Amino acid sequence: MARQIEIELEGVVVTARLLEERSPKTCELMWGALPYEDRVTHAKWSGQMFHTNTPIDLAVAGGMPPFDIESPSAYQSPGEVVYYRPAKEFAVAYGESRFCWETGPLFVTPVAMIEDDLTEFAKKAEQLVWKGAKRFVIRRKA
Amino acid sequence: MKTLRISFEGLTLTGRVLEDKAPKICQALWDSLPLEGSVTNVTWSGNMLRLWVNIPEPPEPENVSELQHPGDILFVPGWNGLRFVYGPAQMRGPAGAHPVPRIGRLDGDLTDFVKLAKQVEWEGAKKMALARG
Repeated sequence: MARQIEIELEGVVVTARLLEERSPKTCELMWGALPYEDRVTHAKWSGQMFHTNTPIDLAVAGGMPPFDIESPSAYQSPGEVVYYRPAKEFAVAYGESRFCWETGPLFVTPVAMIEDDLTEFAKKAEQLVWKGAKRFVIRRKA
Repeated sequence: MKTLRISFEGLTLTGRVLEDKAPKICQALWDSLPLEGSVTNVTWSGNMLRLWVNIPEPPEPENVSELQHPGDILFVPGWNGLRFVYGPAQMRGPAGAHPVPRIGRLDGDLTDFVKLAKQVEWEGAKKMALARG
């Protein structure tokens, strides 16, 4: 059975499945690094997405050239959790979004997919725009 | 020249409307003053604040550009409100970059404005008021 994690944003908890078949090395490092707690802020360039701010190093060897990123992806679906290696951060897509910066879309590694209903979680995420940084936790699901 | 007085959480800024380049939108803004509302950071376009106020929609876009610069004041037809650029930014959305009217400029040293604008992402919405200068 796939490893599962819990993702908590200001009291709202959803369950996600690690995408081990897609990004096995990064997921293995991530699993070993949990629990992870931080304050997240809303994306400024990426749409309906928020991201962590305390670097977490999940660098793996043998990623796809030229960026040396495992399973590089430039598109996200609602509920997708990605890892952006250069900034050592997680980002969570809660609606229409695409991981971007000033230069445009960037390659990220997909690490998990939220499997619960996103409605309440997305409401909380959207409020980051109005309320500022909030507490965020990723932990292993027992 | 039509000038603006902008109050942003204890900071007072001056600006001007670009009435020669965007006469109809500038007039609509001018007629709506004074305005007061919340500002949040935009979610697709980078270092840009959105002031949540409502201005009567002018009939057509004017002084449209795909490039935005710090100090620019923008109006986005269809979305309304005003945008204030405080760093690298480009008006974008799910459909990509889209050109928007530049209708004003902030004047003077923007250092304190930029510092305060950067806090919005972390601290949440702040208040802004606009009046005729």
